[in-house]
Amino acid sequence: MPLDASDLGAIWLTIKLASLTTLILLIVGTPIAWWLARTRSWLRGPVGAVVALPLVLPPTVIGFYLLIALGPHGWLGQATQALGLGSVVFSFSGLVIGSVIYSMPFVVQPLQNAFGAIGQRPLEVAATLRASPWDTFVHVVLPLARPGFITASILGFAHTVGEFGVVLMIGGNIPDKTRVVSVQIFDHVEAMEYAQAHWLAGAMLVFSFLVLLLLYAGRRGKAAWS
Amino acid sequence: MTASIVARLNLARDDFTLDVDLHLPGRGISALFGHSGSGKTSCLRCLAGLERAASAYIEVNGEVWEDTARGYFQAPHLRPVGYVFQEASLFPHLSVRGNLEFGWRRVAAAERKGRQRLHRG
Repeated sequence: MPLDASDLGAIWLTIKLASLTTLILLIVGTPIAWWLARTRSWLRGPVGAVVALPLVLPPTVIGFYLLIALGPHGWLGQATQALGLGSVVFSFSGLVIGSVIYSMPFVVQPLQNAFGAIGQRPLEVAATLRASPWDTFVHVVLPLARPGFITASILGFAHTVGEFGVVLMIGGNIPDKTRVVSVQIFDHVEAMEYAQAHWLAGAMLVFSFLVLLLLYAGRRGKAAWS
Repeated sequence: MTASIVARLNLARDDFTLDVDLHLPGRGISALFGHSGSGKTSCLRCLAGLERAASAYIEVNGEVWEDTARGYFQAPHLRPVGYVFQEASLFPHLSVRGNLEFGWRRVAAAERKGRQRLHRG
């Protein structure tokens, strides 16, 4: 077996982190994307820009601010301690919080585009057919935005798997708690264990290729997120 | 005369202002006609609640649907209207039957007219 127990632990942790992050992002990102797609408020610009920040910021910058905010003296850290959750830095919960922020634009933007593409008409038709706004959202908007949800899920998952800088800043490098695949590869290379680094890196390469293949082949020629 | 439709609307647009004061019979068929761009669609959209006029009073057969003076606006899905849009507006994610049943299922059983059940083929 080319992958040892710590490699498998890192893979399992990565899958767990990416799945949980994607799930949370779909729940949190859907209302944000819906609001961004429909609002005429002046806040649309600032909120859209904040959501898109992780696209341009180095992961170390996000990680640094999260480390400060989540730390024992940060406002989020104070809050988690007041709630009896203790400190979440250097823990799996901290990684989830960081990943949700880091992967947010990869979920919100495809959803926002999908919602925008539906337009006003199907909503008006549903309203004249006596469907309440919530009824319309569930039975018209969600089915029509299905391709957007698929794209958002795949990108959110894949981008979290590819995370490194934020993890290192706020998660540290604790086996089975915060040591994900990308960090494990870094460790192997640092320790000159190139053979093991090869196996893990190769697995990531194949995985990433397959995810993108699924995404692009599945969209039948349509641009993936525009 | 209570069985009637009253619609007093003032809807300001960029290039014109729609200002109507309609009293229509509450039964039978009434037709709105006029030049293209004269506001027929806007007027009907206001009646259906799809458009918010700056000032509006809409009353249908004794029931007030909208009264901006009192800040009252009845949501479109609570107004018992049937609306045929100018362009084809079917739901692309539903079958023919799904489209037909969408509205049918959302009307109270006692108010359903025509066939009691859509034919199952």
